[in-house]
Amino acid sequence: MIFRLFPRFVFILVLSLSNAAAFAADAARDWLLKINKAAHTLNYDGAFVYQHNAELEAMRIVHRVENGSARERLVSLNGVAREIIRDDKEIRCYWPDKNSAMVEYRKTDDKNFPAILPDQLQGFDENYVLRLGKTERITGRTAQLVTITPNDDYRYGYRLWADRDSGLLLKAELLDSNGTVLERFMFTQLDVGGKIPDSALKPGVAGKSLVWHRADDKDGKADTKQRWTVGQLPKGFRLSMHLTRYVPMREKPVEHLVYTDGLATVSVFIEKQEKEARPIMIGTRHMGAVHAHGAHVGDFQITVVGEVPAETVSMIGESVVPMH
Amino acid sequence: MKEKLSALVDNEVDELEQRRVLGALAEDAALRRTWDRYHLVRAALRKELEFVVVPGLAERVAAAISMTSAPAGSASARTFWRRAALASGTVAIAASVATVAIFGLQWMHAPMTTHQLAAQDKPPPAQVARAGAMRWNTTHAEAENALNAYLVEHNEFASNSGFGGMAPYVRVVSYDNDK
Repeated sequence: MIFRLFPRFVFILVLSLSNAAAFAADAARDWLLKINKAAHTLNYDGAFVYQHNAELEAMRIVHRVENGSARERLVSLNGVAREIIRDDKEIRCYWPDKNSAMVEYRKTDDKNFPAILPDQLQGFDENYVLRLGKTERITGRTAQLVTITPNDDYRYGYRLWADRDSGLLLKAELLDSNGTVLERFMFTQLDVGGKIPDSALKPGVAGKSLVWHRADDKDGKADTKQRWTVGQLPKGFRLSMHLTRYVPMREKPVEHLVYTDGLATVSVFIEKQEKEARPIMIGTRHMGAVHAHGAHVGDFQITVVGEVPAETVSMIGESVVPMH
Repeated sequence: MKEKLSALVDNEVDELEQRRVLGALAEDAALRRTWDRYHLVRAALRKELEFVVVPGLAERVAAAISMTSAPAGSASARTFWRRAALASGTVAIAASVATVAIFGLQWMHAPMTTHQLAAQDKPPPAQVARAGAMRWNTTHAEAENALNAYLVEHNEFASNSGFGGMAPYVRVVSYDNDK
């Protein structure tokens, strides 16, 4: 989605440090680096609106960096105050409406990624065109527009407005291949660089009253042999990671393959089911611009999830096969 | 005792009282059924009941409620559900349960959890339904549940984003129940 921008720009940053001259001329690329860096390294506290289809929602995000590690809190300001608090080690999801909470331990951190950087970068250039737009006034600040246009229908495009001073993303749009806006996000109020008190990063719901679901911390290590692969990938997508994990509330080992085209990311989950169990899901579903595709191979449920068009998840989902 | 039970459901009793009521609950099966009903009613009033409903449950709940009659909340009845129960009577309660049924939501067992860390001294306030809400365009609760769990997993890899890495989770906290 809009927010899942530039998953790999951390890598670009690393590469550009070693090869600065090659990229210095590319102003649009510099802006992407600046956006990514700002989001990870600055303290900020702001309210934003998020528009998808005819819905409009308000949320608050608080981000604090202290001693090199970040802590973030995202809370819905409308309706049920669902929230997520994330740090370097774990992700806590609070669903007060369900009296439940979920803890997921992070399997990776940004530091693990640069090893696959050169591929990612190459993929990005093959699949997208980057352009610098004009400056506009957004949230009372001067913003630089950067556009990312996909070369085909297997991925979405983006329009990004970054704060000229801090580099923070102030507004973003997710577009389909016709240029129609699928989702839009925009800060309405934003404080950058201020001191963030502990209280702003605490959950608004009392955890004691919730039923907690915890992921087992053991996964991702015990058995990492890749058993499945995708037979037919949309152009530009490559495997970036595979691991075995225990998904909270699924209670079973699940093989997880991650594919990326340098910007968009698609996950493939393979989960063994009971003999002759009913498939959990067959066919394509969506939640806003996120698509999912379910298929059944033998006793295995295949589920593909990604912020990509329906064609992309269905092509991948229908071609998942055991490795030989 | 029902009055106290109702207060307990709303978490409005002190520790001593709580122990007394829980003791009574342990010994009295009828009281336990009442306890269950109170929770169901409260959840329905708060529209927390987006899961439920076995065929005929609404009718059974309605019948049971009409026989129970909500505990006569005194003028001091503060909580929402007791006020609502008094104001609108049992018909409204039954109706809201029926509404849940009409929306075609399926009965779902609470998912098995390896670590239920809920406070041990009282029963969980209501059943856990699903990880997220009805937000995908599917009416199949298990698929919804799986997709939400998978989305959180997926986000970890899609989250080195320009929006502080938190951004993909916007979808998880976003989207209303009726989507």
